Amino acid sequence: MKPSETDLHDCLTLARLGDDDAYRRLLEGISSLVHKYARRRLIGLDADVEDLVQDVLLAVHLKQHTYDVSRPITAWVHTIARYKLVDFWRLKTRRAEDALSTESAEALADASNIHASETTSELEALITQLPRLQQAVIRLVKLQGYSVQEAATRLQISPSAVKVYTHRGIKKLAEQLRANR
Amino acid sequence: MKTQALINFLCKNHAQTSTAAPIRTGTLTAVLVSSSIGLLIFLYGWQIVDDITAPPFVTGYALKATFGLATALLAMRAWPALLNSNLPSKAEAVRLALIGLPVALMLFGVFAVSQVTWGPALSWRNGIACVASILLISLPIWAVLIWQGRQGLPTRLRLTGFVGGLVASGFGVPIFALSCAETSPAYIAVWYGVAVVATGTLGAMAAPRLLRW
Repeated sequence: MKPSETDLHDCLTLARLGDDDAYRRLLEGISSLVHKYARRRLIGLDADVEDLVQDVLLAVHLKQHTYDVSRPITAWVHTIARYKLVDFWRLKTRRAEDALSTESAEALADASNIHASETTSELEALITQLPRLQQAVIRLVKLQGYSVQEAATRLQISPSAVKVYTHRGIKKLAEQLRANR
Repeated sequence: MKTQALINFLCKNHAQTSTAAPIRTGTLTAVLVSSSIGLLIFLYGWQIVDDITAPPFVTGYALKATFGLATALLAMRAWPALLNSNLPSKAEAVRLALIGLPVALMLFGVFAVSQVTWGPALSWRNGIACVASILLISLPIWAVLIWQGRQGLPTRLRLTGFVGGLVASGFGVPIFALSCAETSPAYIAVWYGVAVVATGTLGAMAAPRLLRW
């Protein structure tokens, strides 16, 4: 159940006086509030929803003093949650831009409505059909988590070439996945 | 870690939550202390004008100092709300809008009311030196404000950096003005205005990296 403004406010007031139970109720209330907020905005990204909730709880724990008791606590929590959500998308976009263009990401997203269990082996089989350099960059950047720069150094090619090979490779994978559906 | 496990962990450490008051006070002290560092930098690298009591200099200095301090004080009024992660109220929005008032008033005063003498205002070399000097002198003040910002929970990072830059340059202006012999209102309006806005802009550019939490 969504906690009310008054409940959370009371819990915080009691928690500030040293009431541990009230503090637990406060954190659980905030957790439920942020869960609801994040689930609506990160559809299908359950792990990220959980991370976002935990980030907000940590911020509330560490920076509780920044809350002004004369303001609504739900608005304060939403401001923090919104900030963390924007930060999440910023980081996600930056990582994605490092490796692939929006176009190929969308293509892959369209094609990737497949179960995780079958993904790994199927993807591995498809990757082996790609040209050698495309295979290498996709393995390094997309599967092993290397940055574009690191992959470029390892393969002794330019970062732009890594981006191009990643883009082409992802596009081919997406096409093959579509054809296999 | 599961969220419930995190909640259990945080509850065990409830005693360690910060009980400090919201950041409302302390900014003036922080700014005054860091201004003294700015003053030391100024005394090391710049020279105070020879005739500090000459009437044209006194008038020019008064205009510069009033402009700088008015900008700084108005920006300081908006500062705490930016650090406490609370949604901006109407009053805060008004406070933010008011920061632009000194620049607007000075530009209006110089260009709309008085007869402008463009000569000194077009002195690029002096103007750029003036802007760079104010930036350098303001840097320690801005750094202290950003340090203070890191104790808070700012969510509008660029705006926070910009307002921090306006506070810093506002205090940097009266320090630098001790060495600036230019007294033309047009020069002051253009170059001191540019210096304040440039410091704010650089602050806005650097703040996201420094304030992110």
